[in-house]
Amino acid sequence: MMTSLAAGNLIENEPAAMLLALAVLLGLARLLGETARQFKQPVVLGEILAGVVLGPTILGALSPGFEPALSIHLYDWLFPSPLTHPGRIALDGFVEISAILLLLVVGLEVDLSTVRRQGKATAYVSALGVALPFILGFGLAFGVPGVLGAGPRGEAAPLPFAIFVGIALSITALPVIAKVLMDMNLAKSDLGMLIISSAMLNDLVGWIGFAVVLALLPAGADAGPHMSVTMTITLTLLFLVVMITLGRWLCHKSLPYIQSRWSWPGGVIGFVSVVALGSAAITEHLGVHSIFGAFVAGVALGDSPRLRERTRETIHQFVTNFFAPIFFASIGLRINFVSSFDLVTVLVVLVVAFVGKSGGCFLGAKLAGMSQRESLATAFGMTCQGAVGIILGQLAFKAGLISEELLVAVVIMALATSLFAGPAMQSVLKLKSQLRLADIVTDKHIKIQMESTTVMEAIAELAARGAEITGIASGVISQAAIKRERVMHTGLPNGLAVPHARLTGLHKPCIVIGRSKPGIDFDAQDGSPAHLICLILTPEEDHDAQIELLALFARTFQDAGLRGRVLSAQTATEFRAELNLASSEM
Amino acid sequence: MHTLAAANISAEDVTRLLIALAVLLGLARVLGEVARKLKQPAVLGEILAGVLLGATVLGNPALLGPDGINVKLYHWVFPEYMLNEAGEQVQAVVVPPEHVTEISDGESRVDAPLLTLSEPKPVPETGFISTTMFLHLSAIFLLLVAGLEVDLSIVWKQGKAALLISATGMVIPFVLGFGLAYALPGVIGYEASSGLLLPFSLFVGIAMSITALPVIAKILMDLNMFRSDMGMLIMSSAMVNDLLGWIGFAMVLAMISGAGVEAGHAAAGGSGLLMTIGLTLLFVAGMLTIGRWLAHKSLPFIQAHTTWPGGVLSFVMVVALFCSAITESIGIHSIFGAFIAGVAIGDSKHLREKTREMISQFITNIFAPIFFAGIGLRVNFLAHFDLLAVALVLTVAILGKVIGCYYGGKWAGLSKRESWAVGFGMSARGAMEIILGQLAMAHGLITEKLFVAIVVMAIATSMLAGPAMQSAMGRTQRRRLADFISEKSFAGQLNATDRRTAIGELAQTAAKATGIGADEIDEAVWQREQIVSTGLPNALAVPHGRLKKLKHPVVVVGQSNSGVDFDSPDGSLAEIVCLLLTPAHQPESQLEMLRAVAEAFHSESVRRDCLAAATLTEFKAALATSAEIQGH
Repeated sequence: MMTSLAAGNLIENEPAAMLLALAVLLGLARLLGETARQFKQPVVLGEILAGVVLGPTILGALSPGFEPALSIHLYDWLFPSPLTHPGRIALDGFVEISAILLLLVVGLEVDLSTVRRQGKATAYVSALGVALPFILGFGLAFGVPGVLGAGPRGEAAPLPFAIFVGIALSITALPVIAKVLMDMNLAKSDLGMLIISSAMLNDLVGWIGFAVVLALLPAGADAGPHMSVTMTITLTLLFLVVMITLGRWLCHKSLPYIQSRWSWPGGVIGFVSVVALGSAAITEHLGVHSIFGAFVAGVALGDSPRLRERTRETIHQFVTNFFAPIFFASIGLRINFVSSFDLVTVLVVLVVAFVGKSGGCFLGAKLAGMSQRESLATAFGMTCQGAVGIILGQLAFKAGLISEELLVAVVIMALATSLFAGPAMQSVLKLKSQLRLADIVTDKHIKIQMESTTVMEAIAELAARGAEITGIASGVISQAAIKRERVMHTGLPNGLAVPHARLTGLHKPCIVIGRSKPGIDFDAQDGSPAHLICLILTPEEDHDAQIELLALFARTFQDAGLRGRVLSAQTATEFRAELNLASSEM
Repeated sequence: MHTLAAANISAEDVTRLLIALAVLLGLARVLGEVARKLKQPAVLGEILAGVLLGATVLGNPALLGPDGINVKLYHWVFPEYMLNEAGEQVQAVVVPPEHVTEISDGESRVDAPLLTLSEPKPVPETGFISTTMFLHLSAIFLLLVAGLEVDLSIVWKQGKAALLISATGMVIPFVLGFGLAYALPGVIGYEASSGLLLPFSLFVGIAMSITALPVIAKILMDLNMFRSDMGMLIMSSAMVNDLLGWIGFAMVLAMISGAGVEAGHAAAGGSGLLMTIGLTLLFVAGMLTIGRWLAHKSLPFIQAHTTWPGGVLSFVMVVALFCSAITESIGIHSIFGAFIAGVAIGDSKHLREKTREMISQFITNIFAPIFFAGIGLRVNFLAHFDLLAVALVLTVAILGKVIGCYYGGKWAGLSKRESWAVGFGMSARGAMEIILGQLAMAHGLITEKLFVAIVVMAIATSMLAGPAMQSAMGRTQRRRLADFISEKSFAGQLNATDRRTAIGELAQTAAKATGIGADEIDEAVWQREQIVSTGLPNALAVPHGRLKKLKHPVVVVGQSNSGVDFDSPDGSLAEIVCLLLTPAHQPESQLEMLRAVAEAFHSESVRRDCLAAATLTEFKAALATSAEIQGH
């Protein structure tokens, strides 16, 4: 049975549990991610939370100390220990590949010319952003090692331990911050580029520093590096330079060949993945993490204008919606936050990391001449520590450098800063996302089949629905709207109509959209009967809202294709699905 | 004592995993494209990549001895089981999880080591586990894509004819295959010791009666018949065929896993088998009715509430993973669940073409090559190649399908020619057959001998189907503009400013490409040009001529940034000039080429990119990217 074939092995090793684990991880991560989006938070926040919920912190730890609860059985079954279940190792391998593809996508978005233009700012931000938290962490760990809790080998070697703490506090998590920026549509902006390139430098310094720490450890290190530190540093820098010059040029030259000779876009997708996997293997071998190689490959490839937008889009969509959620959710799976929780350690680590990082980056950004607001946003963005901090912490823990308490503190710090970075940046930048009709309409706001045939009836019918939503008497609403309608009819060309009214006592604007298949004559300029009628109710004191909503409605339904599809929708949900698709494509 | 696996992935394991995937994917894509160039199915090249990298060539000890560098490289890149210093597999026993206590991360202690231990087994490498899992997922997603292509509503519309063709097209090959396996089990590699002759014969029957939807769709598109009645008929019969074939295969799997349960728990009696079959049927029925309805209802909801197309993408993947977990725990294979999930979701008209396209692009270009290369990796194709078995399987496969579908087609009222075409079209087995065989081998149902025969049969039938259908229908493959242009026939920027000199300049290039005198060409084209000018709207011009000495059609392309006046109806100056030369004895090829030009430069962006192209490669790249867009 155990013959020499590929799938044979897993068949014996409970692939059902593993598939279910993947499905649950992906499903919950996407669900919470979408929920986070609905609340205008970065999607990654929900995805990380999904892992915390499914991990040892909640699912694996409900009702501890009592009769083993069902949830613990479920947890053990879904995510068993890798010691006994190869399926879990396979899951870890999959997560590794997810991280690589994610960083590839991030790299594809990097615009080297922007980085060059912002060279000075990048240098300041990353230098100060590393130096300050490093000094704070190093000083603390060297001065009072007892507070933080060194591991068995860390106690014997205070210097490497202190250096490690310094590094752990100064690293920025490239994948997380990149995802936050993508979620906010900032990845391609100047600010986004500054943060990404600083984080990249930061990451590089961190990984090299970690290699130094492992080399400094007293002998007997089984997890020690297989090549000398100087080798690692030289080769990594060499790899970086070669990829960004020669590699970039080669990619640029070979893309037209692949596009003309290979099937499209499949050939290009395959080529991009092969390059990313190859350079990830190289950096992993050099002793820095594989994601770094994937990122550099992405930069080299993405710089070529010959990479078509559609290819990018296919890779991007698949990675952000399939691989990335699994990766972020898996972060929370690794650790139990309850059993080794030590409040003092957690607080000390959290404060030092946060103050050091944001302080350093803020100073750096100010020195580079950026505005107060942008400096703050940069500082908050850079505090985000996320996955890389956790990976480093785990490696150090395995090498006996740090205690479990410190590991948990590092992980909590990483999660807290990741969760904090997005919302903080958003509030500093006061991003006002563009209003979309799909976001303000729910099923309640749509009357899919109007019964009225005249203007007065139609307004009364929509007003009745408006009354349910706002709590204002329907008579009041319809009277106000009819009064306005008498002044001048509100029909628009293309079968639209926008009766409207301002109401005292209304707190926020409200719209009701009605659909009439036979059409109602609102006396439009082009003589067409109105099929889509939008009753717009706005507060008396808010002058802008009415104009804004009117324009929004007219703009959205400008598209004849959308009007046609909306008219053939069966239910209010289908109606909204069409709206959402149309506004996503705009 | 070793437990079954090392605890964590080390840096070296990750490096190896990445290299293994990169090498597999890279070589599979390259060879796949080469196969495509030679007008062969891409899966041929992809499997060949695995054969080259795998036990047949790279890892073959016969090449440089068991300690040869190639074997060492093979074991390093694609590790399978842990080896000790002597190069033997490390054996270990499986420790039940309840006897292992994790002391700290990375170390463990085994309690009561003498309790209920299993037989010693080789210890798999962590890299092997990860690669295997990746291959497993690839198979799941491949079947998901295959399922998404099945559109049950088309089948209902086609009605009787489709059902007849698929019924006879299944029954005859099934009977032949079953008979072959039952009468001559030894010849095609049945091991009498397994005691599974009935499931074995059933499997061979099913393997003969299944068909390959994606291959057929591709052939029909190449022949420009996809949207025709004939094409739809073939597609819908193939869909029914696939659906029934996979359900039948699930039954066979249920039989062997049910039999296993029976052997394990004598007390449970015969209920194991019935239980598995019952659950499988229940699952299929549930998914195709309630599941389909639910998917149809929830898609608009998801599109309304989540980012687009991300939300739908994740939804499809989650459903597929869930369904595969369910079928896996029922006791049939996980890929079956993914297939049914694909059918249930793909049937909804709310699933947009763009989402479908995105899923299928990503999967067929990343997961599929890795999967097919992975198949060749572990099987030694040379050692297990048995001419008699291959010949028998191939003959039965082609005869059964062609005869079955031919009579089905005749019955359904098709003409003789059309019936032959349907028969040859349906005989393509393609990738699905290989997945089927791989699964059967993984379940110990068939041996490597039969597996190799099935792979050869699948590839051979896929290669045969296109040309055979073509000659049965008397159709030619649609050619694209890029197929006519070669390095020699690319003229680049023209110096000419009027059409007389432009034609002269193009004729010079044409002379080099064809070996016919430039004057002769120039004269023929100019004569034609004087009758009616050949300018087209949108800055194109297509001067053309027929030549007696010419053997194949040739297109010479020239660009002009300043534009040449070819007196086009919209008054635009021609910026791209295509000189079309056709043999005098092929009057129809001129029309074909004219159509190809009009089609190729349909969109403005393509014209712009083509005008800007400095080399032939860039020019063809611009054409190729547009051809695909129009293809959909």
